[in-house]
Amino acid sequence: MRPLVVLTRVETTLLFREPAAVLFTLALPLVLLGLNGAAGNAPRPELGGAGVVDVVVPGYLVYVMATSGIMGLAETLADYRDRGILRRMRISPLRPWQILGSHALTHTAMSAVGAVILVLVGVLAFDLRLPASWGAVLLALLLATASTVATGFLLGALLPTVRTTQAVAAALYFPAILVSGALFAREALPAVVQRIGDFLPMTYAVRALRAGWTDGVVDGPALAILAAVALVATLVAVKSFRWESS
Amino acid sequence: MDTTEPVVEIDDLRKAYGAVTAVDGVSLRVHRGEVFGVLGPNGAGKTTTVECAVGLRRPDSGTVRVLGLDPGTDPDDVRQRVGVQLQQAVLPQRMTVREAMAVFASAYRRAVDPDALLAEWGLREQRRTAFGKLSGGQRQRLFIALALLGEPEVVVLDELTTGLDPAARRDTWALVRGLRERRVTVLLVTHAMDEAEMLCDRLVVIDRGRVVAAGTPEAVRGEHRSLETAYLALTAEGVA
Repeated sequence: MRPLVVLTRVETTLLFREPAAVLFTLALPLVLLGLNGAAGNAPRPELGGAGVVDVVVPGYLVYVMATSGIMGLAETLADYRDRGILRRMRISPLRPWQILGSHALTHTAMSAVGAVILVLVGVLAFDLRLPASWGAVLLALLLATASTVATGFLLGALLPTVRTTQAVAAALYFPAILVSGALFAREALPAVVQRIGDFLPMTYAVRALRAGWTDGVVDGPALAILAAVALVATLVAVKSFRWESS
Repeated sequence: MDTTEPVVEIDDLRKAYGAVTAVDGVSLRVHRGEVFGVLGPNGAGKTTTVECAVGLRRPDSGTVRVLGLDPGTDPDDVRQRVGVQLQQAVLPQRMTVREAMAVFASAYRRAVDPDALLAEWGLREQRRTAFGKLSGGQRQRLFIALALLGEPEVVVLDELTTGLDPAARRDTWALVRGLRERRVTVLLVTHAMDEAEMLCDRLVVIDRGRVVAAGTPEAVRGEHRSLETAYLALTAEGVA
């Protein structure tokens, strides 16, 4: 257990030393919150009585997870493999589950920090209402994080080089954050775009989180989809993981 | 103590990557407490042999025993007791020397004091320096220090002094001799003949996946003026 703790501590420190990671993961959603929250958080009938801030914050939480868990994790794993860092770790007594687990925990920690900052700023500066059901929100956060981290792990396992990993992860990530409701509430999107979103796991992460936050409802089907993605992606990633670039 | 107790035993090791045969029947025995050289030109199969010995690769055929263990089935035990400095290794650019030592130290059942090790290898001032800002020689010494963290019984040093200036090479050699005095077995992979001649008790020369000479540096040198001329005569480099 101790190697996992030490590795996670060091990897987390390294991640927070990365200006781009901090900027895109932590700072960008705050800027968006500032823009969207400037008009206040008054209840709106077209949002089922929730305010704009109540609707966008759950989406931003998913944005933070996806930025760290999918983009960050996939790129780190590919980079560590390409440059031989994984190989150096493998000839030490560090176990595979400790090496990979530390990366999963690191990006989970980054997501958690981002979530805490967003919610604090939202509550203190933008009248964000607290979740209608903390339990439903925490459950949704847990499964959403698991599915995004597993997706990042899968991309980092399957793709051959850092360059292809960056390209493929970006090609999946950017449309996903636009279409799923993470950056823009789905109500604001054209019907055809919403249909595309129906095929993305990220859409269900946003849906489950919003359901818990504004309605206090556990969105069973959405959570089941997230759990299935987390499970399948992890199994495939573990099966196909390579420690060295060929 | 029995000075001929074998700590690394490799018998008829073979390993191919697709159509390319990297190791073609290598056998060698390394005794406890000796500095054993594995010499040969680039691509001769040295690194693959070493990688099989630490369980990083699975041999196609042949047997490998390290400290009596099979690295293929017991990699964790082997890695606890064998320290490896790999050729061209890297760490994350922003990881500091101290962080690297902490990460690797955490994995050993018993680890030496990282700060004492850093002092011994002249890295005390660099403890807070990021890996990306270290010089080539400092990186090399860091990897040697990492290889020694677990108080290993066997240390594999792959291209130990490549990229070091002459003074740093001398210092490094002195430290390798210090390891020998502590009865640590050293497997020295190199193509630097002066280094092999200075340090090795015994050595093998590998060329195109096969052992072409074995014995003490004097025996391998034989009639030749130096180990280098003997080596050039033995290996493809001399023909090319």
